[in-house]
Amino acid sequence: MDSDDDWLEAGPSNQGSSADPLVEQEYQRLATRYTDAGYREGITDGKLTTLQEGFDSSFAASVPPSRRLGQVRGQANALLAYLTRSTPGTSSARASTSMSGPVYLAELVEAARELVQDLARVKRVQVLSRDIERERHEQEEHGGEDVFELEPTEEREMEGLEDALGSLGQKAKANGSDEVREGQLLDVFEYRLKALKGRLRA
Amino acid sequence: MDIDASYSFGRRGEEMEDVWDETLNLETKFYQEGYADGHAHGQLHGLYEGRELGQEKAWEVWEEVGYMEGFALFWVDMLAAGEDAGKGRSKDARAISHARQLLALIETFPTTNPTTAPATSATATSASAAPATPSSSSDQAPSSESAPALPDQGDTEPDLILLLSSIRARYKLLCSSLGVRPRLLAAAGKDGSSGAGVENDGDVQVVVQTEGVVQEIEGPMKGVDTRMLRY
Repeated sequence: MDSDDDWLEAGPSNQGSSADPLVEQEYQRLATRYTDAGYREGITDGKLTTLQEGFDSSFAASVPPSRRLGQVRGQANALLAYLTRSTPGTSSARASTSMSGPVYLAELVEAARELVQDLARVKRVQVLSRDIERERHEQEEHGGEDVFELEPTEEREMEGLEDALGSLGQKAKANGSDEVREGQLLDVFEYRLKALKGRLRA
Repeated sequence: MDIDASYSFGRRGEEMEDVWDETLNLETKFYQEGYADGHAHGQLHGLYEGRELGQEKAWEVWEEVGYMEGFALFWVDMLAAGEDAGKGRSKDARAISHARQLLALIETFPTTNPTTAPATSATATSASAAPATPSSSSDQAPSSESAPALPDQGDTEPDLILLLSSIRARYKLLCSSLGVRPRLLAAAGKDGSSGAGVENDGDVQVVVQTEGVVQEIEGPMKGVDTRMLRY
């Protein structure tokens, strides 16, 4: 008989009341389960409400600097092609510029090639503005982890690879504090291009 | 006694119902709390991820277009001098005309996502619908976002693809009239020996379009937490 009683009263005397740890446990389980489910749906829906807005505003803001870098690259490459066009007499180009000899031309070609190479090393993240808000959010809410990892594509993998290779070569730049970027970086390249074009016409 | 008994029975039934209601309410309450938190957090992530994608696409498209623009500008600059001096050769004249047409085409290429206006209004409506129950606002968000954008979708998307490929074609004509090898990037995209290159070119344009983004992300987005969408 005693054992039957034990079985019936196995739970604490407050069984079913709010003080029952089992009730508390069940309550927590329910809370976690439904809150998580809601959270998951909410984050997906919430994302959809702002994704387009973020895309459009950042697209519009990113076009001018992207275009500027493209233009400098295009001009620098055209300049190099102009200087090194091999077919003799294809154009009056080289004859018309009063170059004081092959040495001068070689120097110019060398400078143009250097500019083209330096331009080729410029990466998107150096030209387009950082998302400070997002970086802060990552710091505060996600312990600095990059939770926005995008679906890997070939291009993104290449970018990552380039980053890795780049940081091997130049560790000094790693802290990025004195890194020339965005508008300033574009200014520097535009200045170098202008100087080269000036030498061409001189 | 009879009345009493039925009365007390009725009371008991109501109590039971209350308990059930309360449990159900509790579930709804938890769900809604979670949903509200998630929605707020999701709005931030949507903004950040949208921005990231916007940068990627703007860079992808406009670095290339800018390159062709700069290339054309340089040659117009160089060759126009010879043209004015009257010693321009017919080959140079052709190059200049290609370059000028290229520049004119680039002028018409949009620098903003053409569906900006409807997208912002959609954001406004879904923001105002935020206090509503989760189910209603979740129904509303995608529909309000895709509906107003639809009309211009048909017009602009093919135009952009068409425009970019005619820009590339003009750039190649310019290159060949100059006897200069076209840039590798554009070359790979156009006569792409690999199917991936061609596909990718299409994607660029699709994603610039609002509809492309919304529709294509919807699949992978479902149940996806913080992982980003592919398109």
